Amino acid sequence: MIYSYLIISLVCIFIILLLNNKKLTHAVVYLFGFFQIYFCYELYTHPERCQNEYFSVDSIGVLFTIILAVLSLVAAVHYQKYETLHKEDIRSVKIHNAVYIGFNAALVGVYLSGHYGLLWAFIEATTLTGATLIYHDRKKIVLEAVWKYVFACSVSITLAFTGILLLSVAAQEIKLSELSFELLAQNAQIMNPVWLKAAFIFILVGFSVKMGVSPMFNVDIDAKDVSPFPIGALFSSVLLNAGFLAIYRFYSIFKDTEMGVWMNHVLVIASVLTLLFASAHLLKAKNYKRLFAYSSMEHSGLVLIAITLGKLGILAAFLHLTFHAVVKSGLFFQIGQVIRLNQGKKEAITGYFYQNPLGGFILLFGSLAIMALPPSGLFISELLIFKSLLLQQNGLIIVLIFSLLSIIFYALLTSVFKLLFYPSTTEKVIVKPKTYWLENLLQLFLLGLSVYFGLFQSQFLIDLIQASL
Amino acid sequence: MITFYILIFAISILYFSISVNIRSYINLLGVQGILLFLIALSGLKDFHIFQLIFVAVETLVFKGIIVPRFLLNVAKKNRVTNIKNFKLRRKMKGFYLILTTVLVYLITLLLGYTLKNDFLNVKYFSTGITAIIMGLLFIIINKNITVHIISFIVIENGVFLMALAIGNEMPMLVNTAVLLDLFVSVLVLGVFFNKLTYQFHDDSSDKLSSLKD
Amino acid sequence: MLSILLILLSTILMPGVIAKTKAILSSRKGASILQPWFDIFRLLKKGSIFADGSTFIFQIAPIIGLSVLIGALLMLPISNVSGALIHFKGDFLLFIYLMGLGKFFLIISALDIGSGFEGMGANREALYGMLVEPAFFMIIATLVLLTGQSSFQSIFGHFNLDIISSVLFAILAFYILLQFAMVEGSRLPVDDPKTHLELTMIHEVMILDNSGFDLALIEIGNKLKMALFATIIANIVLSLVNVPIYLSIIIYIIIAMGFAITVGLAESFKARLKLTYNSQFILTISSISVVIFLMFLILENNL
Repeated sequence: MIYSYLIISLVCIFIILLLNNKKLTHAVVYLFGFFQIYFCYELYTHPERCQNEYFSVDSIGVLFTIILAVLSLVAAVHYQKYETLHKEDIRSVKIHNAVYIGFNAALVGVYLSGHYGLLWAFIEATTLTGATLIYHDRKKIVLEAVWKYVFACSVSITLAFTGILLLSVAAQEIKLSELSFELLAQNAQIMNPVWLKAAFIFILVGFSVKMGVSPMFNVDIDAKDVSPFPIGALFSSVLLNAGFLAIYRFYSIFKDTEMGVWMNHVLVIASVLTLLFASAHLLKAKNYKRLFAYSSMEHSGLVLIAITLGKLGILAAFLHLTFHAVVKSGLFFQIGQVIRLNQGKKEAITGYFYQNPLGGFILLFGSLAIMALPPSGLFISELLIFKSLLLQQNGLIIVLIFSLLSIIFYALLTSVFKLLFYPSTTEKVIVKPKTYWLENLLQLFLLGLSVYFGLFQSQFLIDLIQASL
Repeated sequence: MITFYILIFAISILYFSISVNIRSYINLLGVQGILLFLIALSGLKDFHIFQLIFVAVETLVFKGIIVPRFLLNVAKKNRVTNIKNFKLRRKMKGFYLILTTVLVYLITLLLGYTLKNDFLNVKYFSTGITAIIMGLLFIIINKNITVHIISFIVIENGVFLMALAIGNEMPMLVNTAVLLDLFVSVLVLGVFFNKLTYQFHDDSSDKLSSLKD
Repeated sequence: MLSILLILLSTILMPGVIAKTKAILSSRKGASILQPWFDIFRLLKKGSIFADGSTFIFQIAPIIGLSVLIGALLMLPISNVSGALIHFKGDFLLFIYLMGLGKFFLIISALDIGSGFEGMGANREALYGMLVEPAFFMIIATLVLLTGQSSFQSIFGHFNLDIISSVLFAILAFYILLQFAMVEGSRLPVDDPKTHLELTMIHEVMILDNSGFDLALIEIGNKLKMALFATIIANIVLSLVNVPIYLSIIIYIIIAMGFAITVGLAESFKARLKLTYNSQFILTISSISVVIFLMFLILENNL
């Protein structure tokens, strides 16, 4: 089944490259999106059909693929409206849509791969396709961000490959012939921890560029800043999940061995540093896209510390990732509208609520949700994380994290309120808001998803996550 | 014989530390490509013949000839000769880099010995890690984008050496390392570097500083 | 005995061959091969002048400089020809430290004079001597590692690896020892022997105030040093082959002259490095020899 998925994506790419009509290319992307939803359904009901020697379906992969399927369709809708308004030419739209399908296919490959080398190769593919997706406008500042993203990602992914090589040295000692996850999980206890520790450090640093956490977060922030807002939304949600999965696969195999405590220490250090840098930058950010990009960074830091906290923490981490993906992309889509309504400027926007009440409501509700206030699902996951943290009774970490989160809370909310409610000091130009009902509906739908799953503890979600614990 | 090639590879990293011209960097890169070709030929005896030819052709043709040729053309087009804009005191930069190289090599050798692993070929391992660490240092210290790309290829050469160390049991990994080279170099060098030099007319990374908070 | 005679023969011939090579490469005819020795005889006939504030150190330093080199000479064998006069375990250490002793006395005699020029020269000579010493040590240490013996006579008698490794090692050792000899003998690209600007000199300015007989002793010492390094290279080559004595003597003479011609070639095609790059250049040579040693350490799987 997975092979047919990959083949169909290749076919769709070819078709798009051969077409000449913008609307038809968008139609192909929508068709592919619906096919992806069907594929998720197939994965959920018949997982054994998709297993083969290279790909393995487990519930985390299925969860992330469902998120990807939903979000990519919504992002495709937003992209169509974006390029209509910006009057892009046919060639850039074609390339963008073709690479978009490739990006989706690479991400599904990451989620469903059962072999560490294959995971790495698919993440490399997401770098290549993601860089092409970011380079949509043809300005100098976009080129600068794209160059930095490609270069830093390449160097980091090469470092991650070094980590995989060290892992294979450890595997060769016990005569394993390949790095598939089942074989590694069976033999985890007898591998030499020295190699594994070195491999973990390299893998954490290498894949931190995809996840947007401490050692290499800058290029991710820049990429989300200059890309078109649907792509920024996808980077904040599904690509972050892919980076997390790459680190989590390694961590989950070895967390019960003698290395587990050491890995926890390393992850705590990484996440505290992430939160520290995120809070520092958030106090200074004036550009609204960067604001939400740093907020993604903060949430990745929280997820990293959540997985060190035992079974409850891992459940909380996956819930957090799910809700964060949904809410953050909704916010990014809305910010796109904000920027569009302010003639493409990204900063010093005020009084948005008065210009566009529905959009303002979405933005307000979304930011409150991303700051984990009650009706949203993020409240539940953060509550679980804090509960596990307090049970661990590590005083210094608790104090640090809570103080950093308060700073982040303050910074984010002041900026958002300034955006929404400050009366504008310039002359009020009544701009007829050009919003599309479909966009607003979709964003409300996304926020509603997070609220629904948060309020009514969905058995479906809990089952899915618990199956992997 | 392989020892000799790896020795010359380590010496080429020493010469990287003291280079002043872009031309010497590019020549050293070509030398490293040819060395990797010779190492691959003599080291990978258990490989299937087609895989061996693929790896050999990639190292010799791609890394030894095509990439240096391309970089030389770009450097000539931008009239870049001297590597400028160091962050350290310019005159002592080579001195400290050489000391660092030898120190890193010594430490990785000691590490390799204390680990005492039968599957670990210490000479490949320590030279590979030295190449990776020194490549990262070259990226940090220099401000030319051409030098950044060259140092990235040095890092890739180090990774390839380490993959050769365990290559006889897991041929998939060596293939992946080679494909990493091909794809990323083609995309990074070929597409984006061209666009960058076309728009900015210069390859100093000082020009790339307009993205701020 | 025979080795001492051969080394003295190469001392007599080598400086002239270097100068003649450089002259031919600049399309001149050049002076005769024994011309440097005529200069030395002229200096030997003169008396010495001592500076006013100098002490006995200034008077004894040149004598110590030459006598340690003669002591070092006694310890070198020539591989298939004859043994060394003095040999014991670890004599290579004494070899290098004798030369260090001579250099030390020259340095403090230069400081003894009290003039700024000599102090500057002593400064530079000390730094470059310190930076280049690991080069020689590491090559000899590699030899000790490969053969397991620690006396010059036994190292060069037992040198049998498989043919490829030894040829490769001989090539590398030749390269490093050539550079080392050119640094120790104050040749280009570290120190230009033909410069007349004191601020750019290293060795010449250190012996600026020595005159007459003392200067002759120091000059003889320099020539003897070059011959000693040529002999070590010849030893490495000769211990690879197993030929009768007369053929070895001929090979030795060829290698010594070849070394002199190579030094002449290397000097003619190089320019003097900027002084600030000198330390980097010398450190490169030392680092390459350290890396060679470490690599052969791994090859033998010893630690």
